Amino acid sequence: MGEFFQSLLGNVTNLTWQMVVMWCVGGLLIYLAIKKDMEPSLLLPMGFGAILVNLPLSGAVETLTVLFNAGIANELFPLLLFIGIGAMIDFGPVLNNPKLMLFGAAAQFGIFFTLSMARLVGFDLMDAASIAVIGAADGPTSIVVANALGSKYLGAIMVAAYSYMALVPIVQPPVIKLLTTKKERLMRMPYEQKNVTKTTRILFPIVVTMLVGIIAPDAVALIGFLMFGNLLRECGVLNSLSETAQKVLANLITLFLGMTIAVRMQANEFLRPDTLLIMGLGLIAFIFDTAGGVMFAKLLNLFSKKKINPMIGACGISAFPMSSRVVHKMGLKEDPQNFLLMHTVGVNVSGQIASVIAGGLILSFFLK
Amino acid sequence: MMKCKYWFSLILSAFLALTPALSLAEEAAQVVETNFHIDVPAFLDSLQYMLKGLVGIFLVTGLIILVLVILEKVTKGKQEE
Repeated sequence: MGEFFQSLLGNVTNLTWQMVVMWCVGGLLIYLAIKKDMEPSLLLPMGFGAILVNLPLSGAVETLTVLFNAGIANELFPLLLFIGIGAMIDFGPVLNNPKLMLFGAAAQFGIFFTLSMARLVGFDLMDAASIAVIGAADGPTSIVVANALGSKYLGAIMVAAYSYMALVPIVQPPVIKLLTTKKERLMRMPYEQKNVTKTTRILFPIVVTMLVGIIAPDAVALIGFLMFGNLLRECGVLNSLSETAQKVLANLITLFLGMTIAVRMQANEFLRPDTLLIMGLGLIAFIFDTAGGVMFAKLLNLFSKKKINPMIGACGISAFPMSSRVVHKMGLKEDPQNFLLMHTVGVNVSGQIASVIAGGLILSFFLK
Repeated sequence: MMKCKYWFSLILSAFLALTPALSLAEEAAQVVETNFHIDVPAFLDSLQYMLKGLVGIFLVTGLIILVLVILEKVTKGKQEE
């Protein structure tokens, strides 16, 4: 009888308190995904995966490691996901007013600022660069860069990146209010609709890929897959492929991605004081991304005749479309007649490109 | 009796929760002491990447904007023809 109970319950002795803590972390991610609707497509699989890999002598670790090596270690999953993301994005608002791309560039300030902060608190260069890319507010870019640089904090980086992307409605508004006056928030920006030719829409992804690829060759995979997806959308002759990329491919990869990332959420890897530090640095990245975009808009207003509502600068992060909606709502709250949506969407979409360029530059600086 | 049991289980749970938290805090303090330190030279060295990164991203963005403007002028001209 004793032997029977020993064989049945013997594994309980392999349970550690760290595993129990990770169950709570997994449970929290699942709660945030379901109850608070925070990035459920990723937080739920990550949360469940965290529980799976933190059961004593879990047999799931081997299977998930196979998936990890097949899709994350070689960067396949995030790049395939980028095809789907590219197919979903309409670059029309940016093509309508290309100058909006400057705000996308400015809003990547948080990445480079966080790199310096991470170095200040003692992370080595590769880990600091990987942590800094949380500020790209872009899951695939964070995975590709962290993996390419061999960071040991991939799990923590992913949790931070996706959590803060979902927390944009909470993180951004206080920063924007702190850096702008009431008068600036009330600025109206009339929208002039220009017809963007179909040829421009088709040539845009090709030209951007070639341009970015020549300057930052390490970014070719990232920008290329994103723009390929967009080309599928814009060419007009591959509607079924475009739809497949937007729905089936994106959902399939997302399904695998969340669970597979959890391999890096085993207690011995995840439950370290560094993880809390990474969460803090991720928050700094998002705050300074927002600040960078807003301050750039205020700087432009000093020299520009056509005044820009500085709030739109905050949309230059890659968290699409959440950031654009947040700022548009803030504008409406100040003035119910102030419709900033087309401008915020344009800046938000340009942030997608800028974040990939920033990721590519980080790779070109540090990858040898 | 029920109240005693309730308080006893509450105190026991708090103790059980606190013990790993205390050991984690102790471990954290040790790790912080051994691994984390304010590294000002590393911070100063990293500022070059901030400069290069921001210049790089604005340069690339500027080029893309230029290309877009040319593209739009060329394609619109052809469309009007």
